[in-house]
Amino acid sequence: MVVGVLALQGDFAAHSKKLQELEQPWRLIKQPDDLGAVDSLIIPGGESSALLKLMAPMKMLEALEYFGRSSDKPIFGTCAGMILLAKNIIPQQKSLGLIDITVERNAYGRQLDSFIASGQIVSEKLLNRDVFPENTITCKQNCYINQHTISKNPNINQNTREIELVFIRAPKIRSIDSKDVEILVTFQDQPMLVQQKNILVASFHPELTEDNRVYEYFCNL
Amino acid sequence: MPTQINLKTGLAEMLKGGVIMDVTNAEQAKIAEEAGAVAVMALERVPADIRVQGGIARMSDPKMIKEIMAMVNIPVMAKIRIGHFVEAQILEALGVDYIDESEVLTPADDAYHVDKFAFKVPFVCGARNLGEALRRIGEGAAMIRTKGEAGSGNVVEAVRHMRAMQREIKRLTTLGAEEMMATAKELGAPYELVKLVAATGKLPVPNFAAGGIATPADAALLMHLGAEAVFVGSGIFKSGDARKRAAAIVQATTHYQNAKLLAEISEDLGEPMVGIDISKLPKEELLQERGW
Repeated sequence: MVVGVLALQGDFAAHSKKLQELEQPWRLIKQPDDLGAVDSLIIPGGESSALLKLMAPMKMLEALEYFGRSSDKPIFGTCAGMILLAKNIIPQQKSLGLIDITVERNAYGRQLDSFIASGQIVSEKLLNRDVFPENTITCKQNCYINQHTISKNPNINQNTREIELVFIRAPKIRSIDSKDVEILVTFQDQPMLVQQKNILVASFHPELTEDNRVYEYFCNL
Repeated sequence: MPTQINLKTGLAEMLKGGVIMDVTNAEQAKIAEEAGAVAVMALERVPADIRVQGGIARMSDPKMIKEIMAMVNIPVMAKIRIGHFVEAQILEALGVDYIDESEVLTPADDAYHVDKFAFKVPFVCGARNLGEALRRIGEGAAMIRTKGEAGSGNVVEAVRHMRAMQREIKRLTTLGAEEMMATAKELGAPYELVKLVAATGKLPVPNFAAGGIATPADAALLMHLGAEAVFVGSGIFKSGDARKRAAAIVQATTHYQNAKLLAEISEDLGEPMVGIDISKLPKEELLQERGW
C-alpha cells in the first residue's frame, strides 16, 4: 500500500517525513496522473486558496473527487486539506464536498492565536489498536507498520485518551451535516478529527507532533 | 524544540511550495491572493522604488497594514528595520502573522539584530551564507530567506546566496566531531546549531529564496537549488501585467521540475521589470550588505 501526499503547496514535507519514520511507502503527487500509483492520499495543510489556484489548470479537483468518491479510496485532510474536502466553507469557496461538514476558514484567528492544546480521543478506534489482531495483521502485510513502530515512541502512552493538538491559523468545524460523520477527537467538546466512510479530516496538525496514532489509524483505513 | 518555535516554524511549513508577494495596498493584496499567493508582504514602497527614491525606508503605516489584513484570508507579513524592536512590538500589536527583519529597510541598529525569542509572532530574516543564517536562527528566527539583491530584478545574488548556503551545509555533514568548534568559530555561528546542521544536513527552520526574482523561470531555478518557497518583491507589481505574471510564478514554484509546463506559462507575460546589473552597483548601494 502506497500513500500519496499532495505536493502542490503546504506542509507536504512534514507529512512525508512522518510516513518515512513509520516506514510507510509514500510518494508525492503533483499532477492527476500520479494518483494512479497510490492507494490513499493525504491533503496537507497550507493555504486553501493557493491550493485551489494550483489545482485549476490541470483539473486536479476533478481527479481528487474521482479518487475519493468513485474509487472510494481513503483521503486524509489536515487544516487546509480539511477545508478542501468539506461540503460547505465559510467564507464560501470551491471544495470537493466529500465530507458532510461545514468548516470556517481561519476561525481561531491569526498566527498569534495559533496554539498547542490537549484534546480528547472519543472513539475506541484510535486507542490501543493492539487488541484488534486482524488490524495488526493487515497492517503488517500492507503498510509495513507493526507493533515495533507503535512502541517506538516511549513519550506517547498509546492508551491515553489525551492527544496533543497543534493548531496553526486553524479552521473550525462549525457543524456536522450528516449522521454518517463520526467524531474521533474533540477539544473543549468541539469536533477536531472526524470521519465519514473513507474520508478523514483534522483541523489540527498530527504531522507536527510525535503522536503517530492518527497516522496509524489512517494507514489502516 | 520549545513549543513556541514549533508553532512559529509550523506556519512556515504551511507556506512551503508557495509564493509570498510584496504588496503596497489592499488592492494589490487582493490581486496577489487571487493569483494564488500563500502570503503577502505589506510594505509602503517595493524595493525597486526604495532604491530609486532613496531616503530612509521604515516600517509601513499601520493603517495600510490593517487594510491589507482586512482584505485577504492568507497570512500577512510586514517588515521592520534591522534591530528596531519597537517597530516589531508595533507589528505584533497589530497582529501581523510574520515579521521580516529586513535589509530592504534602513537599519536602525548598526550592532544588534532584534531578540526574536522575546516575541510570540514569528520572524523571517535574510542571510547570504550559512553563518549568517545560523546567527539569525540563534536569535530566534523561525524562517530564513536568501537576501539576494532586492529591487534589482536580477536573480544572480539570490542564486549565489542559496548556493553558498547549500555548499556550506553539505560541507558540515562531512566534518568530524573534533572540527565542530573551529567551524563554529569560522562561521561565526552558535556551536549547538552547527552540530545540528552537521547531523541533519539541513537548516533547522524552513529555507526560502528572495531577492531579484522576476520571472517564473527565476522562481523555478531557486526551487531547484534547494529553496522551499519564494518571495517575489518588485518583480510582480513593477511588471507589465502583474496579475498574469503573479499567477505564472505561482505555477512555476510548484511545478519547477516540469519544463514543458514552464514553457507554456512563461509565454506572453508582458514586460518584466527592468533589471540592474549588480556588478555596476557601488558597494554602498547594495542592500545585502546590511546586517551582519
